[in-house]
Amino acid sequence: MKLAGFLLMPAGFFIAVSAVVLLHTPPAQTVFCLAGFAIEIAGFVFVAREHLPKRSAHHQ
Amino acid sequence: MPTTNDAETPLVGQTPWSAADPPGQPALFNGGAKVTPESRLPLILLIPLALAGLTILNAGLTRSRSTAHILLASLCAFCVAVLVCTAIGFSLASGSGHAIHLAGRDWNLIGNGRLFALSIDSQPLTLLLQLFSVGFASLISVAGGAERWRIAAVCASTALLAAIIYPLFLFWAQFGWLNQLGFIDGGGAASIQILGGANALCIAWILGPRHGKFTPEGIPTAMPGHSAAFVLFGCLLALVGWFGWTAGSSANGTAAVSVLAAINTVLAAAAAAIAAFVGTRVRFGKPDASLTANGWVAGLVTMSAAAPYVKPAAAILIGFVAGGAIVFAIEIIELRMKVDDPTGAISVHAVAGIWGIMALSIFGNAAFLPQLLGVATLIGIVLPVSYGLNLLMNRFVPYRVSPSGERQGLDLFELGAGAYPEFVIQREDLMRR
Repeated sequence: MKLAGFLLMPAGFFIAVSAVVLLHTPPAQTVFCLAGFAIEIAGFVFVAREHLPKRSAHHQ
Repeated sequence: MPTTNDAETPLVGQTPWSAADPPGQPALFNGGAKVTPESRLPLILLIPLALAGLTILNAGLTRSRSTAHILLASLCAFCVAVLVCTAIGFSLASGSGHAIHLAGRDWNLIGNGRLFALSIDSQPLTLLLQLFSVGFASLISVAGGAERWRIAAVCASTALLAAIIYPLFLFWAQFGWLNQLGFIDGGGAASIQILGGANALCIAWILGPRHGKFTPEGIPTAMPGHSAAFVLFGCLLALVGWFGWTAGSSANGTAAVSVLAAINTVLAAAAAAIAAFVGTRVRFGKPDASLTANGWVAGLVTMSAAAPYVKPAAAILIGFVAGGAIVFAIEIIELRMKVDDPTGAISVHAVAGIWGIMALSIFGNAAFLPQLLGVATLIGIVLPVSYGLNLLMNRFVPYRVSPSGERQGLDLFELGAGAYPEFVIQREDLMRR
C-alpha cells in the first residue's frame, strides 16, 4: 500500500500538469488540476497510514 | 527566491506581465529607488541570524540529553549543505537550462551551470542566497529527526538535499517550467520551507518515533523541550534573519517594495503568534510558550511567499490564519498521523509554507493554478524523491542511533560529553515507578 501511495502521488502530479498543458479553457484546467491534486492527497494518505506505529497485542 | 517570469503566452489564463509591471513588482507599491545588488547584500547577510535562531529554537524544543548533538548536527548540516551546493547544486540551479519541447513549448527542466560554481561571475549574489537557503532547508530536516538521527546520517542526507532535491525544485520554481507557468515564490516559501518540511517528514517516517514517544496503544506521550528561553529567543532572532528573504530576495523591486516586505514580515509574525497564543489558551486552558513561538515562525514562513506582494492588512490576516492553523496541524501530525516531530518542523514549515503559497493567489497577484501546481509538485514529486533517496541512503549509512544510545542521550553516546555537565539529567529509566 505504501508503494501504491508513492505511485499515486506522481500520477496525480502528472494529471495536474497535463491538465494545464493539454486543456485550454480555465474551468476545465481547474477541475482536472484539482482532480490530480486530490489523487496526490489520496496517495499521501495511503503512505501516511502505512507509517502509523503498529499497535502491540493486548497483554493480560 | 527571486522569480523572473518570461513574457511568453501563459497557459493558465492569466494576463502576461507587461513592461510597466515587471515580474515580481507588486502593482500596489511602485516607485522609489531600484534595488541593486549593493542594497540587497546587507539584507541577505542577515539570513544567518535566521539560521542561528532556528538552531537555538530547535535546541530548546528537544530534551537536554541531546542539546549539544542537535546544535552540532545543525552546524554540520549547514557546512555540508553549503559545500555540496557550491560543488554541485548551484550548477543544477543556474545557467540557461536544458529544455524539452512538449506541446509546442520549451520546458526548462534542469540547470546547466558549471560545477564548483565556476559560472559564479554573473551571479555571485544568487549563489550566496542559495547557500543560506539550502543551509536553512537542511536545518529543518535536522529538526525533524532530532534526538535519534546520527550525525553521519545527517551529513549524508544533507548532501542529497543540497546536491539533488533542493537545486532541482529551485530551478523549476525560479527559471524552469514552473516559473514559465506563472508560479510565484517571493522568498523561498516553496523551495526552502515546504521542501525542508517535506524532507523532515520523510526523515521522521524513516527514523520512526523516539523510544517511549507512543504507548503500545498508540497514545503519544509528552516530551517537552528543555528550555523555553532558547525557544523564545530563537524565534526573535529568526525575525531579524528573515528580512533577508522577504526584503532582500526581490531582484526586480524598488526600495519601497523591500520596506513593504519587511513590514509585512513583522505583522504576519505578530499576528501568527497572537493567534497561537489565544488558540492554546482557549484549547488547553493556558497559553503554550513553544506553540506560540512556533506560531511566530509560521507567520514568518507565510511571508516568505507573500511579503512583497500583499497589503499589510492581508499580511495580518495571513499570519493570523497560519498561527491558528499551526496549533491544529501539530496536533493532527502527532495524534492522527502518529509522526514524532519533536520541534513541530513539519507543521511550521510545510503547512504554513503551503498556506503562504496559496494565500498569494488569494491576496496577491498570483494565479491560483500555478500556485496549486507548485504545491502539487512538492507533494507529488519532491516528497517521493526525497523519501526514496533517503531510504536508499539509510541502507548505506544507518540513520537511527541504537536504542541504548537513545536512552543514554545523543550527547553522551555520539559526542562523549553533555551540553550541561554540571546539571543532573533526569532519565525515565532511573525513576522509580
